[in-house]
Amino acid sequence: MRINVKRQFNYTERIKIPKKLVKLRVWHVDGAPPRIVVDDFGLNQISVPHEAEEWLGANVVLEANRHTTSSFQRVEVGLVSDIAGRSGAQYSGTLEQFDSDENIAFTIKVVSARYGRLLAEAKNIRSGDDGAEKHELLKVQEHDLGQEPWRLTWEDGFGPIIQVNKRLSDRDNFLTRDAFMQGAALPTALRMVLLRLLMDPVERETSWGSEWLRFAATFAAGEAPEGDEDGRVDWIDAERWVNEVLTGFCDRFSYTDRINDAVAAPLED
Amino acid sequence: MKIRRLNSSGLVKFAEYLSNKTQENAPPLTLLNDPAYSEDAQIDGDLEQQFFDSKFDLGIAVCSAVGTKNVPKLLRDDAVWPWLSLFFSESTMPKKDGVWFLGDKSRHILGANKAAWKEYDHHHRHLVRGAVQAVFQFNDRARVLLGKPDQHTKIEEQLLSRKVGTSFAYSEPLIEVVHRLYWDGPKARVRKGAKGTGAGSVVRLVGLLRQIDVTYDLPSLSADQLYQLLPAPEFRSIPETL
Repeated sequence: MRINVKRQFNYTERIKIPKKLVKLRVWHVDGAPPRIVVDDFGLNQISVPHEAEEWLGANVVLEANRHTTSSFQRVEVGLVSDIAGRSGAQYSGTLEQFDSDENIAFTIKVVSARYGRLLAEAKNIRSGDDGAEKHELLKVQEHDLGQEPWRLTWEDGFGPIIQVNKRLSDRDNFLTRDAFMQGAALPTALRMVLLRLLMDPVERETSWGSEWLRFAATFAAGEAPEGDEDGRVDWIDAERWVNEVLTGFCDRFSYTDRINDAVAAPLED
Repeated sequence: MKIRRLNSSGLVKFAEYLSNKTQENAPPLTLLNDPAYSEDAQIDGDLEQQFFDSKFDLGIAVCSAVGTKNVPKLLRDDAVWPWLSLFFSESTMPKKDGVWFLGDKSRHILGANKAAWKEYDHHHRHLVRGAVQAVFQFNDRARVLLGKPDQHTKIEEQLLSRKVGTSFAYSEPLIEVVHRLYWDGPKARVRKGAKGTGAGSVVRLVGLLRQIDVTYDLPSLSADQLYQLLPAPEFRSIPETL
């Protein structure tokens, strides 16, 4: 006998978190797994029928899933009581199981510590939904640069672009598979972008500028240093913060280890 | 041999070979080493070309060769898997009566053409990738999911196609329960009736999991807790101490 239970019955009073309350951003730079920042899980804006003790002691879980590539990542973010009180981003991390930010669906769950019961859930939040912003931080374009392998340039309204010399025979793999070029180009490009932003208060106020600074801050202990009344940031402070970002960024993507692995690989043949 | 990946020319050549479900010509093994068609995947580990009796053994061999640390990198590289399918073609493309059986393209190559259902990129249906992902995630318990190296089993499809909740295909407690329910240890095979549609079958289990998924976060449950949520006596007819 087959038993069919209608899913709309809700005897356990689980709450649907409206997608529009969830504010998350996904960042992707070629050659590295995407980053995610959840500014708001939306938990402070919903009324809950559950006991306060159970709600505040419940775990917040973030799941990322891409059906077509069988990619999945689950993160236990923390307790509701901890997350609700966080200032700034409520979570930031790397989606290491994904190769790009394309077609990732996110689920947010609030799970009772008692027997794994679901207290609240937001399903199928996608990059590009109202509740999720998707950004391409760094464009890569082919360009004839003579003997210059690559160049960082700027596009009004978008921000930085890496131009890869179209004369390079392996230009398709320039930033995605070549460990040497990733290690040489990406940290340098990040440093150039951040120093330019910290020195230029106008660009810092643009949407691309503020997005880059938020992205960079996920690798540092704190936000970017604030400028004086004219918006100028002290050079020493700027350099110190950028170095901190670069340390976190390079640690995260293990550029030196990857270069060493690439050097060692042919020797093992 | 070092793991390689097919380049765009190699993928075109291999896709041409896969255009029919059977082939009278042998698999194009020359693509494996020809720099015009393949390149070093830059993944540590040496593979030995061999025949496997089971998809589980195939998954174990690849995971052991590259090491657990490198499996996520392998899983992210779509061009490695066609090469691996070809490398292990003796297992993934069996020869019967002078003809090589290939089946759907998705068993050997990861397509991106979402408009064509046959080429829809169901990565879990790739024979080698499915084996590696299952072993990587579930270790020994992956045995219950996997059949012969050229097969995509009903249990594998039911559970790993994510027909039920996004986290089901990745839930270790679930696979532990599935292993407990359906794996016959002494006989080293899946129990009779598991692949059917009747009481206690995997199809019936998936139907129940859909209901449980509404109320519980499956990965938060232990295998014992999940097992206790399954209805008795339907899922109690087997010893609990298997």
